Amino acid sequence: MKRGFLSKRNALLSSKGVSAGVAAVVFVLLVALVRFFAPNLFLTVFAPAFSTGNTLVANVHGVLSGFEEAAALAQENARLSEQNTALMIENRTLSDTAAKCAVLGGGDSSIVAGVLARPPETAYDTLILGAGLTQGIVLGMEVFAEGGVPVGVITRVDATHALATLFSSPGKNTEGWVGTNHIPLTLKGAGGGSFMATLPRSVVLEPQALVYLPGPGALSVGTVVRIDADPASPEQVLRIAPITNLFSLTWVTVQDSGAAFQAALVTSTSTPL
Amino acid sequence: MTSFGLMVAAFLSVFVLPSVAVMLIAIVAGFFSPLVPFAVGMFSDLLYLPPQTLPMMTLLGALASVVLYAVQRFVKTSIIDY
Repeated sequence: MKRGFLSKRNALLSSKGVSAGVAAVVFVLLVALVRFFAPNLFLTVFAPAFSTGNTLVANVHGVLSGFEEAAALAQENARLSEQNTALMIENRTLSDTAAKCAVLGGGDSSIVAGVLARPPETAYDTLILGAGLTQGIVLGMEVFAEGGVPVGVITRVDATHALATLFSSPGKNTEGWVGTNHIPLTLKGAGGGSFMATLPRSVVLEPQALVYLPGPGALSVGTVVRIDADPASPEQVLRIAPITNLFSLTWVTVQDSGAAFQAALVTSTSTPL
Repeated sequence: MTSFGLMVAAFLSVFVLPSVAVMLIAIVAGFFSPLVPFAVGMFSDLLYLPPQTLPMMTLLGALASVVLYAVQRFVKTSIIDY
């Protein structure tokens, strides 16, 4: 009997494998069509996936932290209770002050937005926010984390969602200052919330010097954690860690920071297309 | 079945896992379907790419797909499997 040769030449490369790959590309192209022709529908469709991801990560973290020692947890709980009481008192004082300022300044124009996706899940150090044009967010507004720490700027917006590019996004340059003497420098995004900057070696900085960005006043965004100085180079490289944990952001405020912030953005650049 | 499962896992991981983990899963899935890393890279860029930025995930996915395809061609011409 004649036997067929080479019925299955390769277990890895099968017609099924090729068709699955083609199906994946077709699926993504369809998603791209939706993204370009109905941007609002695009994020509305994928918003539940982001929420599910957030819930999953929170649950896994809860389960893993449950394995920690009970004594250590009780100790931490007591410490946090004391801290909570102190913060409640401080919060009440600040709320009173803010209410007085709002009366004098004509009200607070900031918009609170939930964070659907954040680093490290998002590549390029971006945030996907659950608020958009409907809530009053427009392109170029500044994004602040808890405590008024500036973290990024709105670069894409549709009716119900917005995309914020963080100042730490790789390739993004932003003008700022460092130290108590407010020495000007250009912050270069290094990804993962961190920055790099170069200064002449003659500049002497205090340990853990604060780094500031323009906005409603000078706002601290990070601290200098390391200074790399090559004896052969006339410059020193500053490694800057963020002052807020971007990996655990659940909400942010968005507001128009005015002329000073826009001027700093004019000189900012991103990786060219 | 494994190929399909890995492909779905690669797409879902874009929502949950860091981009490095997504790339690893996509590359493993790419051993079965070389186009998957390219598709996952494009999908990630559609979700997260800010304007005026180089689509690095798509480019890396395309590179991985080309390499994996070349590996498969090599394996195909090297294995005699009845």
